[in-house]
Amino acid sequence: VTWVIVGASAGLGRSLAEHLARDGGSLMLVARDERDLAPLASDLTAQHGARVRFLAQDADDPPALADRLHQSLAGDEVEGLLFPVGMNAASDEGQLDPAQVDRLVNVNFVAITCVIGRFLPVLLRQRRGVVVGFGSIAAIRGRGRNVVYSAAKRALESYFESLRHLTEREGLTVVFYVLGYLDTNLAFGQKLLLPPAPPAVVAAKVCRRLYEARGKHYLPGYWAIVALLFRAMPWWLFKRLRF
Amino acid sequence: VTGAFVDDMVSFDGGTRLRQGLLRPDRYRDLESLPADTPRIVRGGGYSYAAAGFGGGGVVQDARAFNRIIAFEPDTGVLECEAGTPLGKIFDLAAPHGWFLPVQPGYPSITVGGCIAADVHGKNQFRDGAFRRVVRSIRLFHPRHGVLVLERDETGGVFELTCGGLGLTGHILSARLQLARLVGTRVRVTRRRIDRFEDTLALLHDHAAEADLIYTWHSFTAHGEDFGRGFLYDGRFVPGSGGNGPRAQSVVAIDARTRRRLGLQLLNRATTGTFNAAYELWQAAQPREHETDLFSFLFPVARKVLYFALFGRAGFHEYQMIVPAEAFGDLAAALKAHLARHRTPVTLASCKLFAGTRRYLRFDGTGLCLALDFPRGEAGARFTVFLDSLVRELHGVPNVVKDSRLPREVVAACYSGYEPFREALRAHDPSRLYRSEVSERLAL
Repeated sequence: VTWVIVGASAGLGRSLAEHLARDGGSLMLVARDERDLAPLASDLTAQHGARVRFLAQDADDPPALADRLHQSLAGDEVEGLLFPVGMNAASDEGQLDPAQVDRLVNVNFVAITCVIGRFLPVLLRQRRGVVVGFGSIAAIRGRGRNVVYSAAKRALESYFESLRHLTEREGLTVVFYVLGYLDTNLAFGQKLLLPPAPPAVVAAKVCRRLYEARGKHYLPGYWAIVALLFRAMPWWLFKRLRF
Repeated sequence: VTGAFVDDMVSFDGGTRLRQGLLRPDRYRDLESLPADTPRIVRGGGYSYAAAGFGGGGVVQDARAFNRIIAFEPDTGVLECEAGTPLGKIFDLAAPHGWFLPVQPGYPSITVGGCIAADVHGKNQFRDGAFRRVVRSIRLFHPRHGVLVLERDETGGVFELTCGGLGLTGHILSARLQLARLVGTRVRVTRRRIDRFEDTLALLHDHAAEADLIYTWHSFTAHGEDFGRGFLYDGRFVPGSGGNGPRAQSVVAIDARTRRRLGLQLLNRATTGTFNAAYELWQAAQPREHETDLFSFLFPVARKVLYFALFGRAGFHEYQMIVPAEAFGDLAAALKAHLARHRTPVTLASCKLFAGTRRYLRFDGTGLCLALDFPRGEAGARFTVFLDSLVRELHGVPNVVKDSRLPREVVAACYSGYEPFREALRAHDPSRLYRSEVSERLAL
């Protein structure tokens, strides 16, 4: 059985790969750059004896990603699909050029739906399998920054809700984690409301409840309270916040 | 620079503190995205006593995300890893297969890249040489040259320049290392009494050829006839011994920043005499022979991090020098006379035997290696000035990465390789892109 991790080369994806390899899983790692994937694959094999394969493919080309991944896993039993993939843009404040908008939407949303769509027939036939998506605390409420990024993550959240509804009686485990700040390059050096969580800690939590968790969860958990506060905030107050 | 975060950085001895832009690349394309003309320096674990991994006015690239094992052949003991790989990870991987790195410093979070850049020595330099002896090849990135594959036997000389090159030749991406076979996983350490500091060299000579671990400890706060009395430690693998000791993942963590958490300098003029006396008594009460596990043998510092923390925020000096064997008598006499007059609280005095040839700024050569630790402060500063002149007088060399204050004149006077290193560095990279506080202070 194989775990597929899309966005595996750094941050949370890499931590998830390390956890699953330690637990004896067979892995398929997907990311843009082979230079990052090859050493990660060899490292996990050397350390844990795990069977690790990888596919270097940019998520900016969703059909190619879905097709190539499906081909390279032909005949394998897929235990789960995890999507710690994502990107944001510093200038995402309403005036991105179309190519950048395309890229953000592809990487954060379309690519994930294409891959899941491609594997869904197999998962439904198996009547088991785990699908894990990751959203962002940045998308809790629309604001003047991360405009397209947040929209794509909100779309993804809706997609996961549908997916869960769709597969409720089919034996699949569908979970969507809304992530708070992670101690990765994205958050590094920024002034943050709350301390960033180490990706290894978040990965451990995801892996511990891989078969049990369903629906939507916040990670770390205290972000649920933050989300609640922001959602409950009246517009006259929210519009004054700059963050 | 995009993505850089201004951070406080401090050398492990607490002597150099700077605020500087820090990058934490975690993908190879992050390394390329830095503009090719931006001065930079690569930082590993940050355990260099001198500021070799920051300073220099450019940005700092933290290399610790590049810590993956690329290949390991349990049949031949050849291991290839990224340069940010900590020694402890290699230990955890290789020891169960019966391999270990025969040359390595005593703390498991030190990275392979740092070991190459400082050409560090291990438990018995006299027999095993310095770190470059275990390095078969290096992959080095420099925006001017792209990725260079440096073989140990290459003629171009960049391999030679990079081993002990203080990280100034470029970004060490990965290295292939030749590990050594373990003949056992336990080490028997024998302690011998040293009555007079003057006996040290002869004793080391008697035992160094065979030992897997050899060093001495001296009390430099004992004065008069007893000056420098102490112990010789001679460790040897117990052939065929087995059993798993602790793994590196379990160590007590310390780094240059957390070392300073205890604000007070508890090792100071008032306490050092007692500290040394207590250590001496404790040691004398131990059995003359004891066995230690492999981890404690390879990483003795992992169990002694408190020692460094006791220097507090102010920090400490380490002065490490190699003097020719024929100068040892003069060294002993000069230290004895000086410390009788100026009671510097020396918290550690330790000797090892060295053999080798010196090139560039590598801390290598034949003779006796003496390391002295003492608290930072006025007395300490005076003592360093004395040691600077002593090491020159005795035709010795000071260790550049162990001393965050070492003046350029001392290094230039002691190392005949200073000018050749400077010139070779400039020939390799006329724009001198990789710079640190060390390279600027030493005008490299």
